[in-house]
Amino acid sequence: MIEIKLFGKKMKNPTILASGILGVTKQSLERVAKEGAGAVTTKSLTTEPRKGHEGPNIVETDCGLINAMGYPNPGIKDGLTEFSDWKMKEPLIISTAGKDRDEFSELASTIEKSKIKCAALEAAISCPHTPGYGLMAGQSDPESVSKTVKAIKKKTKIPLIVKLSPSTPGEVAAAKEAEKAGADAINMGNTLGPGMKIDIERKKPVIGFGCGGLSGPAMKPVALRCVYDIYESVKIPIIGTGGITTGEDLIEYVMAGATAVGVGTAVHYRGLSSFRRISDEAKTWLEDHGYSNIKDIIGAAHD
Amino acid sequence: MTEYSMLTARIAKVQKENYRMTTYELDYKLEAEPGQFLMLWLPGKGEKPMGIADTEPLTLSVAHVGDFTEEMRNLKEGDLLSFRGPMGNGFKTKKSMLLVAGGSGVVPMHLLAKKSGARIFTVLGARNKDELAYEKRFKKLSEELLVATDDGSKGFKGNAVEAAKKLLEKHAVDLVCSCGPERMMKALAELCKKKNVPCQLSLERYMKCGTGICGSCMLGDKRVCKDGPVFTGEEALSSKEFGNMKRDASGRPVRL
Repeated sequence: MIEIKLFGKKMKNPTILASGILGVTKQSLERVAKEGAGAVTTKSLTTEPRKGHEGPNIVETDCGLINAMGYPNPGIKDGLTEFSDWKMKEPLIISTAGKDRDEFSELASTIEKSKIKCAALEAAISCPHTPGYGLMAGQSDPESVSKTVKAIKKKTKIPLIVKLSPSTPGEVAAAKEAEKAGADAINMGNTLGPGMKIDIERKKPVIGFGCGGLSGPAMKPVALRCVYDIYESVKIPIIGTGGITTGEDLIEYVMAGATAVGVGTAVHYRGLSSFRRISDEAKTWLEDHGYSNIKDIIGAAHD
Repeated sequence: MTEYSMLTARIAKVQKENYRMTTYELDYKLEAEPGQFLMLWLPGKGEKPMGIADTEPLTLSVAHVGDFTEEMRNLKEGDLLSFRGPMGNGFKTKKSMLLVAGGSGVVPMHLLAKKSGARIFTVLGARNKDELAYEKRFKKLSEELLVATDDGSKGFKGNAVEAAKKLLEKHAVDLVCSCGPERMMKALAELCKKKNVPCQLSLERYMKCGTGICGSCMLGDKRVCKDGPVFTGEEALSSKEFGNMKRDASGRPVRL
């Protein structure tokens, strides 16, 4: 069985559309759910609308993608209008990004008051390429994580996922602080880096912002190791995100300690059917190895 | 090398089409289907989707309608241009086609007329004669060409859809293909539906990634960059957004 439960909500499989991928409109999320995702996450919403960074926003490298979108989003007000009235059975996760804990807490309060039908709220505190946010504002430091989580939890009863970074030391401490402050799950994690790609003909970094977060196969070993370490230290569920492209990648993350996995860059390599394929491949692996429930291998790689 | 690798070529020729459109011929041969597009990169100025007017040599015709395209006025012969692609799908051609090009929609329509090997009938629509482009080239490629201008300063006075109706009454075609202002294409799609002629339309939305993962260019549940930019008339008409609304860079809805 590949079906799981997260925050008491059934998911047909453990794949979650990662924030930032195909999450601008409700119809886009509905399509991803129909294509096989077990749950979907919106683009991160900020208080005010943001156009995002100048392009190129995404570039392919030998081993993954580098992106610097810069949190383009319609803002919380239009965003909540867009995603209201979610009718799919696949849980909806609303991602938020704030400049400080006041903004995170205001966003949480707005979402709580909107009565929007969402399974969880995700706090993105780990973007590596947007000035004023995430890593560029020190939001992934354990002390800051604790304060942000407390501020959000004060305003809402909606389960909270904290999205951490695999790029900075102290990720285990950050996860522990998040749990202590009341977070309901850890998402490990955001893109790695920032990294860079230089176009040698033009002698310039390709990404408009100069650098950006690395995603895809290149980051998998790092994020996987982070999931492994965090699993040893916290009891709340972990969502493993980073380079999951096949069913075997999913199994690997679950063995490291993940309950569910975030999928994003795989859509670039294998198309929208990635979710269904990853899930089917994992299911086949479980059956071939005599497991009746994916739950049975969570953390299997630990002693 | 993938469709997502950045390519760079030298500009071999710059030619002014009219006061708002310039053609850039590159020292490069590209393999592309009519209707596919490139993401054009101007270092320091961003990246924008652009139609392909010709492939051998690669030729782009750009209407100077915003900051990015205004910047392109500075490009001269010998300068470098960088791009990725071709991206998206193309037109699926038939034996006889009516092409309806509005404004800078002449760009993909030209490659289609040139490459399809079909009997071609063409409507060129423009606001006025000063914005008309590609007339000579389409004259050569078409069995019949109708020019329509909103103000009547050249050819038929009226919109491109009215001109298309005239040509459809005169010639039986297997397919209508169009690229131009969306409201024009919507009227055309409705006309084709009424006349029971299949049509394919090249649509445009604000694009960021061009590879179908960011979700900026959604039209209903379709990604214009990856599932399109060419859609059938039925596909387009099935979305309430078609001809009515698009989204800005932040994803907020904007009326067309």
